[in-house]
Parts: sequence; C-alpha cells; structure tokens
Amino acid sequence: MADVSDNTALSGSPSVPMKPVQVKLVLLGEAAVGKSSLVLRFVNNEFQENKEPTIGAAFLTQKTRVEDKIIKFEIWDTAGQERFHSLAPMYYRNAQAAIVVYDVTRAASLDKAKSWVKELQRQANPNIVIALAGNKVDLVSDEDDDLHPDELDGDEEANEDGDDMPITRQVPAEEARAYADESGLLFFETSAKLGHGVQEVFNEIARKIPIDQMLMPSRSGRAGMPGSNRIDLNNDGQGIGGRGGSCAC
Amino acid sequence: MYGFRKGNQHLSLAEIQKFEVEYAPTMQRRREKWDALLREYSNGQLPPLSSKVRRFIRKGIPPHLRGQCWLHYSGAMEYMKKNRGRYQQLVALSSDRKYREHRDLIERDLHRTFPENIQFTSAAPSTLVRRRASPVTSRFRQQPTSSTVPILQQLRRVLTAFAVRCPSVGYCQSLNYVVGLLLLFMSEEEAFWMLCTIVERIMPEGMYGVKMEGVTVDQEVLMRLLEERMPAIGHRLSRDSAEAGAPPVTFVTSHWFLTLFVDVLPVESNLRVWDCLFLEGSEVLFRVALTLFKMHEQQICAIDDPLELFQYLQNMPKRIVNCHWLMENCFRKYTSMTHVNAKELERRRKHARDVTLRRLSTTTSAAAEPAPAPTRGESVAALFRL
Repeated sequence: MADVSDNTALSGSPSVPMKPVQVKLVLLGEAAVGKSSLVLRFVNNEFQENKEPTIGAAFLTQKTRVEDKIIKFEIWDTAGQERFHSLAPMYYRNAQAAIVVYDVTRAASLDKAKSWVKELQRQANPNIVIALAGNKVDLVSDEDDDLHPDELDGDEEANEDGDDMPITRQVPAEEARAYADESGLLFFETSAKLGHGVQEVFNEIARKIPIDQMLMPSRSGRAGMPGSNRIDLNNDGQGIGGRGGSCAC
Repeated sequence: MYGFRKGNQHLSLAEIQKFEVEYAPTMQRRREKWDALLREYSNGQLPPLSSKVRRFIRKGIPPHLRGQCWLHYSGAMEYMKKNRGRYQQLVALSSDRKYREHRDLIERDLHRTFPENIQFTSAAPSTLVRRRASPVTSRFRQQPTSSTVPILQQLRRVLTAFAVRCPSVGYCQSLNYVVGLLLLFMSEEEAFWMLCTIVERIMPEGMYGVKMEGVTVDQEVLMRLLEERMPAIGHRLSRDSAEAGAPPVTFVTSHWFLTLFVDVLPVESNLRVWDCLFLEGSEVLFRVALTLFKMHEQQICAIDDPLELFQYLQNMPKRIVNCHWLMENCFRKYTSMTHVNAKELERRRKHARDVTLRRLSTTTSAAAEPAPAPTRGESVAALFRL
C-alpha cells in the first residue's frame, strides 16, 4: 500500500519531433453548464452523465497539434458556484486562453458568461484568447429552427419537482454569435455528451494563440504574458489519461 | 457496502477486495469490542465519553453503530432533542418563493451527488430526454430522481431546510456530498442536525459562507504547519512554485476540507476520518491532511515539474484504501508531526486571519494600508510563538 503508483507519471515519447508549447487555459461559467464535461471529452474522449460538481478547481493537461506545432494545454477547470471564486482570484492570472461556457437551455447562464467575459477583458492578460461555448446542444438538437419565444420565460416554479422539466433552447445561436462577434470572442456551440464541437474549440484556440510571439524569449513578451514563454523542455509525453484523439504524437 | 461502485481509475476492484479480506478480521474484532462496551452499560446505550471510548473511536466505529455514535458524540442528538419539530418547520418554510434561488442551485446538484452509488440513482430506463406526445415543442428532462429516488428527496429537503436556517451559508457546493454520505447512516432529520453541528460547531466560522474566508484561513494554517513540520515538502510546495504559474496546492487541499474528504478518500477511509472528526473536531482534518503529505513525502519531493506535482497531489488520497494504516499513521507513527490541539489551532487561525487580511489589503489597494494590528495581546504572543 505504501507504494502509491503514480498514474499521472508522464512517459517520454521520443517520436515527438518538437517541444510542445504550454498554454494555460481556464474554464469559466455558471454551475452545471458542463465545464468539467467539456474537459473530460477533450482529454479522455469520455462523457459521464451527472458529472459531480467540481469543488475548488481541477487541473488536467492535454496536447493537441496545430499545423506543425504541438500545444500542451494546461487546463484549469474551476468550480461554478459564485462563492468559490473568492478563493482564487488567480484562476485566470497569466492564462493565455479561456473558454467561457453557458448552457443553451438556460438564458441566465449566458448572462453569467457575459460577466465573466467582461471581467477577463478588464483584468486578465490583454492577449488572452477567449472562446464562448454554448453547451448541451444535444438537448435541443432538432429544435434549433422552431424556437418559441414565449417559452423563454416559462413557469420555472413548475420545475420544482425536478421531473418533467421542459427543455427548450433559451439562447438562440445567432444571438450568442452576434454577442461573441461584437466582443471579439471565438464562438462555438458544443455537446460534451456527443462530442460535438469540443475538439474544434480547443483547435481554434490553439490556432489563435500567438505562438511565435510566445516562443520568443524576450523580456517584453514575458511582461505581457508572464510564464507564457515557458517551453516544456522535458517533452514529457501525455497528460493524465492522455488518450484523447487530440494528441497528435 | 454503502452502495458505492467499487473500483475506479485510481484503485482497482482487486486492490479493494484484497484489502477488504485483510481488514475483515479487524472489523469483526472491533464489532465484538464495541458490543461488549455497550453491554457494560444498560440497555445498549452509548457510554459517556472516556479515554476508552475515544480510543475505540479512533480505531473505527463499526458500520452498524456509526450513525448513532456520530450523533451522540458530536452533540447533534442533543441539538435535535432540544429543537423537536424545528426541522419540519424549516422544510415547510423552504418552499417559500424567496428561497427559490437556493432551491435552484440545490436542484442542479442533486443528481450529481454520488451518481455512481446505487442508492442515489434509480432504475429508470431513460435517463435524459423524452418527447411529449403533444405538439408543444418542449421536451422533458426525465432525471432519474426526486420522485423516484427517496434519498434524493431527503437530500433536497435537508439542504433547503439548512439554507433557510442559515442564510449566511445558504447552499454551498460540497455540502451535497456531506449530507449525501450522512444520509447513508441516519434519518433525514438526524442528518439535518448533524449538518448544523458540522457547519456551526465543528468547522470554523465562514467555512461555507459566501466569502469562504474560513477556507482561506485554514489553508494558510495548513501551509504553515507543513512548512514547520515537513520543511522538505513545505519548501517544495511553497508559494514560489505557485508564482511560477503552477496551480497552488491549496486548490487541492481546500477541496479536502470543504468536503471533509468525501469523494477524496476511498469511502471506508473517509468514514474512519469522520469517526474522529465528529468527536474531536476540525483539527482532525489538519492531522489527516498532514498525514497524507507525510505518507507521500518521497514521491512529492521527487517530482520536479510543478504541473505534474499538482496532478499527483490531486490524486494521491484516492488510493488510500487501507484506512487502518491511514489512521495508524495519523495518530501513532506520525503523531508528532500531525499533532495539533483545539487551542493551538485557534491561535494559529487567529494569526492566519491577520496574515490573510494583511495580504488582502496589500494586494487590493496600491496605497497599502498598514496591517491591521492584532486585536488582543494574545495575538501578538501568538505571532512570536509561531
């Protein structure tokens, strides 16, 4: 029992031709919108129904290849409940990327996402790449075209029993996209459950990250994005459970 | 036992079963000893607290007596007896409109509490979406829940009643785990009073509140203890590495404290910690945390990459299936390194509160105000003794 085997041990993989570039990415968004599920899909290509709430924060890594470069995402998955953020104002400090998640069946979760975007744009690294992800589209997949506006503010009291809760899209894709465009965000609708759009979010972020700038070991680069020019010299293979289809090596 | 699925990515079913076989005779012996202890007192009542009882509790309460012992020795039973009917009142109040926000937050976590425990899931065939026959373009989330799973209804009522009782806390994620596990050992009303006892008496003030300042303070205390008693680890996990871009270790340890190790330690180890926690108080959390670090000292010091280290720390408690070994290490082998009593803890917390306040005031305002002076002479003394 004393020998706790280390399942996070990273094995070297000599076949990788180059050193991965490390990118710190944070996930933000209201409770239960599917932040951890997006990460689980990206990192392990798995989905768990009723994923347990994240307490504090969880940390995972995963690599992805963009063109001729390998990006190693350091993913900080955060707790959704508001009060937990008082514990960690450093969640997004030095982050080069953020995925702000909302639930397409919950209009209020987009409001929360917007306030996160505002905070990131005001306080985070000015070069941060932000993606807005509307998750859980599987719940409304064949309903996209016939949204009934009068259902948007249905009687939520009826949900009290948790049963027979009507599930409708509350955030039209066009509305979120328009907001994302005007705020300079990448935009995706995703389903962590079906794997829809998840890889795309991370790939697009990887493409948008100013890697060449990060690779320059200039002092000014460091001031702008502290830690961003950190290059993984150990070339240490896969991250935790790094079996996802994204690892190009 | 308890309905949890055995075996996961951290611990195989074979490893668990191997331990269970080893542990069975110990369990049996403890059961006999406890039964004998209870026979010494008339009509099976729990004996008053004594050094013998404390020793017995540290060696593990047999599962069939757990709920009863937790209630009795934590004081929750007395609390409940003094407030007969109060729980039912709070449940009735909780349906008021003004508690809707709490209800909504709780609702979202109900199905996410122990989704792999058979008692928390129903056998309902469809788990997600079913289409209504009517032309209305709405859809229904048929959760395997509330109306079909009794324990989830209980969980909802206990959490909402508590939110009504304690507005400064309301609902804090992680309490769902705590109450969920309690409900496997006691009735709904008992679990409610146990929750009150935990939040209001056992844990420090502000642990689950909206600002969670109690968490910040306790993590400061824990880090200080680590630095003093296990300097090699303390150095390794120092804030310097956090400055270098790695997630701070307190992200991991605050999770341990908030959930009281639920879903962090394997269940039997978790229960052994609770046996002591409910009798002895929150210092047990520090002792167990320190023990976990000490048990993995070599590995921790051998990992160079701060990110890899963080992942290691995240998963390290999940393999501690040998609960007996954990508690032995905590109270015997490493006792000199883990020992901290209630009085000392109080002093350390007071000091940590000052430190965090000072840090806060220097980081929030450029024109940093002078650090708040300790309010009492005792704090100054504490500063020097630390």
